[in-house]
Amino acid sequence: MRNAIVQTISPNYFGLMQIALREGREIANTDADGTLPVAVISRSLARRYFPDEKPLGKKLKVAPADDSSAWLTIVGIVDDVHYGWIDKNDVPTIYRSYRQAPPYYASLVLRTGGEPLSFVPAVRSQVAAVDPDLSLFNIKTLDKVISDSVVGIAYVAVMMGVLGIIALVLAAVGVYGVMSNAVSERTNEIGIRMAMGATANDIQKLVLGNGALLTLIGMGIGLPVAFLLANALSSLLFGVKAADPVAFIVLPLVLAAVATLASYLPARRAVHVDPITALRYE
Amino acid sequence: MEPLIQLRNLEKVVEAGPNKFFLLRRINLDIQPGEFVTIMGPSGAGKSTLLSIIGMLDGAWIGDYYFLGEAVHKLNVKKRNELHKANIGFVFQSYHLIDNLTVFENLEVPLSYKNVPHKERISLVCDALDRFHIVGKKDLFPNQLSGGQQQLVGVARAVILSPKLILADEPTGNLHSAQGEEIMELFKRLNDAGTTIIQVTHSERNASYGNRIIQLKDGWVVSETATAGAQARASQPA
Repeated sequence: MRNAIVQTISPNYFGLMQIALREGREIANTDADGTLPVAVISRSLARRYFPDEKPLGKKLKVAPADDSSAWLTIVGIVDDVHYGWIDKNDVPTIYRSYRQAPPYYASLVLRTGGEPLSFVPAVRSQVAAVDPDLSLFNIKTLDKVISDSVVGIAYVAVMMGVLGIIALVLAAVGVYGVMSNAVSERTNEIGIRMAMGATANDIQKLVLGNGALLTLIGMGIGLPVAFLLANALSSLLFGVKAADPVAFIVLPLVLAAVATLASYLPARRAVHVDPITALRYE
Repeated sequence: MEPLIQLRNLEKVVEAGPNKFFLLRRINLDIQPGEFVTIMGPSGAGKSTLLSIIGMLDGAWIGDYYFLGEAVHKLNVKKRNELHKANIGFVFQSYHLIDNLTVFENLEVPLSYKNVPHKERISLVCDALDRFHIVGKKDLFPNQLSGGQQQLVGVARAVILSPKLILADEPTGNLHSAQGEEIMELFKRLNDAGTTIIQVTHSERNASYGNRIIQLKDGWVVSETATAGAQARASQPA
């Protein structure tokens, strides 16, 4: 067997963490030292390693097969939990009783009715009542635990966001520059069109239409490439969808708005071109 | 008959710092429908400025300007533009065709700004191509044409909407004499067919195609003379 997480838990863990039991039973207080070593497995482990059979009652070992440690009997199957953000797929998990496999250290999880950290003094006194030498440290809410676990990826996300904004600003400056230059290059043409009867509105439409065409060409190239990249990323990261509506509807609309604004300023300038001067402009 | 154009005390002033420069001074002019008028004068006399004002490209002047009885000096930009679109065609010395459009598309440009329906537009362009014998050039770009051919397209574009008035600013200035002659003959035919033409030129020979010469100097009209037409032309070098 390869690639399974082993979690050592107390009997109430699944109920506390709202992990649904799908088959069999949970770890019980009776699963203690000296009784049949048991394990509860996740559905992904059941699917991967017992594809065509009922896993309940089957045995597995958290060690090499020839190791002398005990075989664990599967007594239950629970839903999968995402313990990491990098792997999009569910990681097979084995849950053991803390009485049968006491860990070197334990994490205490509490579900509270109010502000979780306000219960800390009471918990400390309860733990001290059991053993005054036991110290509690690294006390956090579950939200903090989760946010700490994604801090790396959140940092990357913020950096990507900042780079995205920089790219957007550069794109806007680029479109403005291109449109500005196009208007300068078309000064003579604008003068000719005005002499042929074009109104300020016609000229504005001409320049904005040109900007819209450039934007559409850019999006025509950019969106499929972005979709391919998002597709690749979605297979690597949990929570990333290839067809993300924000990325593929909202952001293109923002880009289109920015491009329109970047074209609008040169278009305004084009409207004020003096036809006499423009006709002399070669 | 109501004059096509009436100018009364028309003046054009530009300001450069504290100084004012008069480009045109107290111009009083009547042009009748069907006339072929030539504006002449030395460089800086105000010829092209006067043409731009008559063509309603320039709206920054003072005085009274009536076009077919309509007070142009009282019109807003939109109304002035409509009057210009409906009645005036331009021919320029540098042809001013749009480089990235074919001959066919260049001829379509004025039509596109008059909301001419597509079918009618095609028909008008085809008529113009046929009338000016440039059907074979319709898919060529301006840089694939000689100067004379470009000016021919320029004239075709100016008359495609059958304007009452054609304004030509040194129309043969960039052409060799034979091409220039051809263009002037074309203007003569258009004028004979009833189109009023006002041209700016330095050429006495081109002026002889018209029936009146207006001389400008330093922004003033200094003389108005009738031309002797073909007779005068015969005595001019080609």
